[in-house]
Amino acid sequence: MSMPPFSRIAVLSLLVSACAEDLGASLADGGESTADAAGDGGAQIEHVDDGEIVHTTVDATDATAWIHLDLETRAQVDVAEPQASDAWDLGFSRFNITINGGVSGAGGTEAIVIEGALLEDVNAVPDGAWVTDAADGDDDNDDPDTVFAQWYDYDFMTHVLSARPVVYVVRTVEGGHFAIAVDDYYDDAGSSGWMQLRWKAVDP
Amino acid sequence: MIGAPLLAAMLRLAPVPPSEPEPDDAQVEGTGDAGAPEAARRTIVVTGTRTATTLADAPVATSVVSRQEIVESGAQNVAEAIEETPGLQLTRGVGGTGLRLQGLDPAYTLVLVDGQRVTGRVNGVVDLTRLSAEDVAQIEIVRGPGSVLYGADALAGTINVITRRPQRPHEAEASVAYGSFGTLDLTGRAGVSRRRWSSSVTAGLHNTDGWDADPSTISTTGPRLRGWNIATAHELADLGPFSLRARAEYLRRDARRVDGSDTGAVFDRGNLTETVDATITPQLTRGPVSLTLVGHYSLFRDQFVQDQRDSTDLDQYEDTVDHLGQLGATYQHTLGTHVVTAGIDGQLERLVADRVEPGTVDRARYAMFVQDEWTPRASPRIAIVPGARVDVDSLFGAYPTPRIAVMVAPVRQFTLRAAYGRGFRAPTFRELYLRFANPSAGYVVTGNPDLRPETSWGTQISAEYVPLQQLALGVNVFDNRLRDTIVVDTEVGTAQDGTSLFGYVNIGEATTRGVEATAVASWREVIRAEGSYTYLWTHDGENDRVLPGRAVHAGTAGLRLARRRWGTVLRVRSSIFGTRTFFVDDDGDGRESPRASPPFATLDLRLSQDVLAGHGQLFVGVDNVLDAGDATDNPIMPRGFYGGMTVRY
Repeated sequence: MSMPPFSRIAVLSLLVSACAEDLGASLADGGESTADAAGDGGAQIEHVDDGEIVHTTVDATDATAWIHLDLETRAQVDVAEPQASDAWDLGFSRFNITINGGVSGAGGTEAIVIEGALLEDVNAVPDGAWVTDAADGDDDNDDPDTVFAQWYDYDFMTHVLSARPVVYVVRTVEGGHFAIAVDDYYDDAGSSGWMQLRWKAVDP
Repeated sequence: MIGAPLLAAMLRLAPVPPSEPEPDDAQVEGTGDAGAPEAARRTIVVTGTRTATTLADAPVATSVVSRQEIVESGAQNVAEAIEETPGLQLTRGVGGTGLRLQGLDPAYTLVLVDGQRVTGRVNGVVDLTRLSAEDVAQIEIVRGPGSVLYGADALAGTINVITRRPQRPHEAEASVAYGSFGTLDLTGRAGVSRRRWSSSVTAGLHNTDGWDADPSTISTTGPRLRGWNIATAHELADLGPFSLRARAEYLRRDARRVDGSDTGAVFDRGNLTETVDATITPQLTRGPVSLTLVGHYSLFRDQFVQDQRDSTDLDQYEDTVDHLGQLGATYQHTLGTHVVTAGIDGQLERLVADRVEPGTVDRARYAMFVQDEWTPRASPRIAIVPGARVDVDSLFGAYPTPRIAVMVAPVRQFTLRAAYGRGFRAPTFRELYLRFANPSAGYVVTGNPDLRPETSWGTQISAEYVPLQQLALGVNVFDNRLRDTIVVDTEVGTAQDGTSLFGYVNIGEATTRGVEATAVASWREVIRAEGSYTYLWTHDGENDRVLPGRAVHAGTAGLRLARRRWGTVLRVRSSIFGTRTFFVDDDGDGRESPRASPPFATLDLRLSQDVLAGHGQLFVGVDNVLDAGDATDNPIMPRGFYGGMTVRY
């Protein structure tokens, strides 16, 4: 009885064990995020001027790091200790935004929150109560009650954060006044953590 | 002619190949209507007791999908072959297409090929579309706990895919089918059979472009598939008491789809799956004694890639490799009215994956089982089959699973069967060792190495009444109680930085109960009609509500019209599912409310015509004539047309 010829195929089929190509190599062509934050401002911040309004994109995707911005110079500032520094006005980490005042910093920054306003309509500092980042109060979560805490609506079905119509008029560490509105939390490719703001200088 | 192979088969051990019922066997041997209920009961089955018996005499209730039914339904894989079988529901999800038996999830059904465990479960599901139909001789489905013979995962039941053996000195066949959605199925098979040895090679190519149930979104529903598989089997027989069977198979399948997220991100997702299976089964038979050894190796590799368009932020790549090695020995001895089966089994499993910690995990499991098939009376036939198995696992220790099955046939036309036993499901590597962190969403899911197996006690009571050669009626009452099921629990703890920790615990509980009633009637070989109705009651003990996605009322109906003289066969299969309940939190109050999904029915048709003096067949078909399905609750392929040709030598 001779060895059946098909047995050679049997051996070969055992050698063809999981030899498919590596699919991971195909990911290298993903391209950069459309909100390429390597422009002026810093490694994680990019500004685009639109008349008197500045469109700013912040790469706040890192949950462990805070990105700090000085509004006068429009520069990203590397701050080792936010609590003890005057160099920054706004801080960003994921969907959290802090101002350099109250529990977030010693810079004495304060803001007025205008609900339902549009950035185009705010040209001067309005009448209103000056508030700053406060410690956690009697609310649903354990986070500090920051000035910018209510900038978003959260859809529990889709887990999407969307910006609410609210303008924040901020008085910086140096005493300058700026009106700020948050536009979006996602870049064009749908990644989260890409804070998109519009802001401008306003009269005191 | 039937006697000798039947007797020889009864002296051998599982996985014993039953004789493959060729579509034209009935004509050649003059046994009449091969599809008639009475004739179907003569099919040899092995899964229920690991011994070969006819379907009529099997002590444990078994359903069979024969080769003829597979071919006439136009099924290209095991999922399509069992689709409209009474009491079965197919589920479609992340893990592919799985089998839901008696209302229990696919994780609770053991999938075997020639009696050997199939590895590669994704989310607990063995994707039955991975098992191509071209090399399948028959599919046996046994309901109820089968852990007494096969170990883990056989709680709701066991599905055993028996592969084909060459029947004639030379045989060859090739088939091509092309249909909607760019679906192409190309299969070929060649076999040689001599007195002492036989060999075969089977290969298949299965491609489809996929479909989109909701064109308004960028997401696709059915994946684009490119896959091929090849298998070869060899057998040596009649070398004195010695025989040997060896089989090897390789499958490669590339699945691609597009998913859009609510944030506007678009992902191109792909899974490249490869499986390798090799089994060698030497066997020694001497008179009433036989010994079967099994060596089995199975590899499952899945590469998952997620490519975010226009960005690399959310790109992902995961490579999972699952190795399974098994060695076993089964000893069978016929002593008067007792057929005693005893066996030992050793299994080693290793998983290499990114999301488990550590990155490579293994476990070993050894088992011993014994069963006595006692037939104190042959007429009226009474069989009592007690059995027990103990599995000893390197993680959860010793786990016994006993079972008792009884069969009484007071008259030839009436058979009563009852079985009661225990089944278990071993915790998966993922449930034991998962380490998955999602820092941006603030949670971490960890495995729990102290998990115990899930357990079930199942009862099956069935009656079968075959008053005439052309009519068979059956009813099966079942009760399955699952305990210690593994669920994700939110109360595991909170990490220091405030992230929530989710983990797995054994606190779930589920019960399913119901009745399955079937009827098959045939007239000559011209018409065969079959129908079934299943009533299912389920209860989720942990959440105190029904199990989601199960229909309380379900049914199947089928018709076979044949004109033998013309060589024409029309096959119609349908299934109907009643209202199913799902639970979603759609108002943000943190509690899920029930949502009813309306009833639906699927209907498949296939018409075939013999050509070339029986050496070929032309066929056309329509799948899902009623165009049932949607993007969310029911992602089944929309209505599709196909046609093709088979030639055989």
